[in-house]
Amino acid sequence: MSNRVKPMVLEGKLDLPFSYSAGRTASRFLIALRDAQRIMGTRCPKCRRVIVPAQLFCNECYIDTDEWVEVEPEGTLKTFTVVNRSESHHPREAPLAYGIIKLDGADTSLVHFLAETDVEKLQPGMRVRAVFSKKRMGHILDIKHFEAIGTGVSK
Amino acid sequence: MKKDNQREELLRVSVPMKLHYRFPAGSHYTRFFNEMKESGKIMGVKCTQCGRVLVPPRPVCGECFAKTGDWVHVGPKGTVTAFTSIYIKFIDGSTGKPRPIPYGSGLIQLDGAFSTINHILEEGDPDKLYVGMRVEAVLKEKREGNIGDILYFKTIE
Repeated sequence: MSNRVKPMVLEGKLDLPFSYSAGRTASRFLIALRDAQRIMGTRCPKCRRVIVPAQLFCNECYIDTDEWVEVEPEGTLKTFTVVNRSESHHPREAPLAYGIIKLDGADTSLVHFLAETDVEKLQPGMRVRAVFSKKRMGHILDIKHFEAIGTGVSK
Repeated sequence: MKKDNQREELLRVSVPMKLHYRFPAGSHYTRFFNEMKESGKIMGVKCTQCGRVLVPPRPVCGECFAKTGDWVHVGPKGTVTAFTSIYIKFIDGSTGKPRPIPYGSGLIQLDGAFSTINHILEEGDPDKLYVGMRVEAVLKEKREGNIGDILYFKTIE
């Protein structure tokens, strides 16, 4: 390059007002969260797994689920990650923690926020409980986060 | 699930995404945008081996892998080499809102350039658009030093 210039940094922004129709099964799941603070799964008639959040079909057996099952608001933290840097694609400011949680009565795990964001205080096997938001609007964030219960660890 | 004769509530889930990012332009894009901002001129850079003029300018020629050298002015007039007409409103990520339809989108080979750039065409009518059509860049009055400084390409002749 012939003459030196101070390299510029371009500010870019993408605003995408995206929405999708939840469909019949996810709507029922979200309405149960919103109106009754209940976490619902669906059971596969073949493999008998309880899938949470509720799904229309079993992704192992490729057949429709046919039974609604309420699962416990408590479960076991399978794994987690802590985010220490705020980025616009995260729905919350850092520090925030994402966990993969297997609720009691469910055979699958779901991803959600953890109240505890100190990596030293989190460990796989920890027992956690859903804390519901005061204002619920039929969204997975009607569960505010999962908080630790006791100090017990299960497998 | 079993069919239910009762009318059930169905939800729409809103997932707005705001992605703000910073793009370090590097030496060549920096000069390209600075020149456009200050003098309103579009610049390319010439490959030291094959002599192709690359727009936007890049430090290395994609064909020869040789360094590029001299900076040259290109355009602001050019030729449409491909086009499409947009009739369906969709979100323009830079504003979060749709652009008014119809409008054209095309590849434009600026006079003096070898490569083409993708940009908005003033003409959106597919019956009036054609390959080989002559166009000219319309630049903003108050330029900021980014690709949005070219508003669109207007039809000439």
